[in-house]
Amino acid sequence: MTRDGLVVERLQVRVGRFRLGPISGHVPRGSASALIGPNGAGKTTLLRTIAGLAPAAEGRLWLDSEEITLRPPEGRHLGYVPAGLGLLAHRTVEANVAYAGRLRGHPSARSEARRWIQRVGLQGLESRYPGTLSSGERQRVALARALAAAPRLLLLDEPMAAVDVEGREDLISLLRSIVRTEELPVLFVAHEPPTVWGLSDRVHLLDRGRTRFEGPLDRFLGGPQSRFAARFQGLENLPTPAEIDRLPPASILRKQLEGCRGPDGVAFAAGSVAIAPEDGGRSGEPARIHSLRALGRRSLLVVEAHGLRLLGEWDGPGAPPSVGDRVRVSLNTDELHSLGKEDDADAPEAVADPA
Amino acid sequence: MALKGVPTGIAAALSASLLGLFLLPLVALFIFATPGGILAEAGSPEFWSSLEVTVQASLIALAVSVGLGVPLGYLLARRNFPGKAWVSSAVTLPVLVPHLVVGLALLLWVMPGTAVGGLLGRAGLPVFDTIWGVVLVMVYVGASYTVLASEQAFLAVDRATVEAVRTLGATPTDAFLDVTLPLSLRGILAGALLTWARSISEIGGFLILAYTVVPSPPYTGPVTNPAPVYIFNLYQEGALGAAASAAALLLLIALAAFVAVRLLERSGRLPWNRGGVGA
Repeated sequence: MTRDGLVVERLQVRVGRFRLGPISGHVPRGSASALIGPNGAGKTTLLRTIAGLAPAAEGRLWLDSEEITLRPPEGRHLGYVPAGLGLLAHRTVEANVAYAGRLRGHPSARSEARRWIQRVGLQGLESRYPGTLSSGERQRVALARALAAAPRLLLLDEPMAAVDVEGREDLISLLRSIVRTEELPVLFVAHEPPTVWGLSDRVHLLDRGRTRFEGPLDRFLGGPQSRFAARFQGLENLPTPAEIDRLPPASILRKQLEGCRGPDGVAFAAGSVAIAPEDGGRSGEPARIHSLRALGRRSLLVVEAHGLRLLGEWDGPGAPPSVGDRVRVSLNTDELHSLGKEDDADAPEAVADPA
Repeated sequence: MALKGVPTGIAAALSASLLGLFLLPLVALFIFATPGGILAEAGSPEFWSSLEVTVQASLIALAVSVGLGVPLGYLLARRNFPGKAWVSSAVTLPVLVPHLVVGLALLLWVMPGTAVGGLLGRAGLPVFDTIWGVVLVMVYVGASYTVLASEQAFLAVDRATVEAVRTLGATPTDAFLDVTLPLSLRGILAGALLTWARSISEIGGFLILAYTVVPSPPYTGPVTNPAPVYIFNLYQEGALGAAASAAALLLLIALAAFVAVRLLERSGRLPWNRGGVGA
């Protein structure tokens, strides 16, 4: 194996009755891969296995062409920031960041720690204890501590979970610059789309222990392969094949959905559903307003047509109608995405091309 | 709002009743003992020799309890092994066994003529009516508290912190010394304090195994009794005032030790006080 960065080769992990894998993938140096998926998908288990904190049942792990599958955590030379951060609450910020250097007896441990404290924007807080910092500051301490250990790989478990919106933007910029300047491979777990869009070059979607997608971010954004991916991308409408089949054969809605239907149905955003007055002279499927839903500054309507409920936007003159009013619904067919069966999704069995 | 206050009021009244039960008998003891009586007892060589043997034995018992109990607490908190539930039950057993039964069981196990008794005798640790008998009883009745408290203390240490330092290059020993031990020290110390307090308050086991303590290193003073037995004897002889004075003096010494440990704990000299940990 001669590729740089992290290479995961048909990795399998067993934790009780949970089975993870086989998982394959590559995180090249100077790139960031997002690990996404629903709760219980195995994301943290995968990170812990790569970190050496959980044993691999099958498969192999390579870091800069060196096999690390059986190495203990302290012998892997990587930085791991768990979701709980794992800071030493009884030591100062500086002592936390200098921990790895002092452990190895590096005479420059303190100056290196100060350099990283400055790099993550925590200068002035060196002598504070983690318990006295904000959650965003603690996140930065954990990041600085991992980076000060001169890792060959950075593993981050939900790095933005406790960070506010403004802090998230700053932290994403900081991480991006670190990925580039330090030529680090970064694998991170995230639940928020903005973190994935802002930080990752590649996406690895896990569900129930299996890979559902592995590839570049732009391909992930090009069309959702699974219901989770569609929801993650903000597509609110996900009619299933059974729901489409229940529509009358002659209905406009059914024809529009049939045109783009995949084995697991269709996905589209609320913005692709235009809701107009029934007597406004526009074509569309007759429907009835089921309920109103506020989504931030957007006022969306849930309409029901032949038992199928869709979330859409008001496209008529004047104020939107009330619950129970009759309307017409039409779809922008250019923005419909077909969904493949989840098991048929782009799940690599071999090492993925690091393109 | 008024309804909200009712349960709190009831709880406060019930709590005050219990605290009264804890404290008022001790107040009665000090009133009965009188300062003059306590000072007189403080001048009694018999009292000091009984106290000496009790303190010596309790410190040895504490060292043994911590030395053996903390590793067991660690195993129970951090490892899974066959029979773990049985081991957990065995740890709580000494808390349940009546004190006289402890003394009798230990006597039958270590009395001269038994295999264990012979072994201890040959090792220079005669047990029957020596300080080592006092130590044995104290370890039996007190070590459980160290095991249970240290198990809880180890369980409370965040595993993510231990794992994070492992990935930073710490070996399991480094992680134990840098993370697990400092963060669990407060709980371990609390358990040790309970162990010590339990040891010096024991009497049932002493009545059978070490009613009298004859000189045997490290105790080289005159023949005496463990302090609780000494107080019991005064009471038996009808010297209620002297018994109360000796009891009050023993209580003051125990309280002084307790306060000293609490002050050390709050002084900031121990790791958990930094950064608000465990505060």
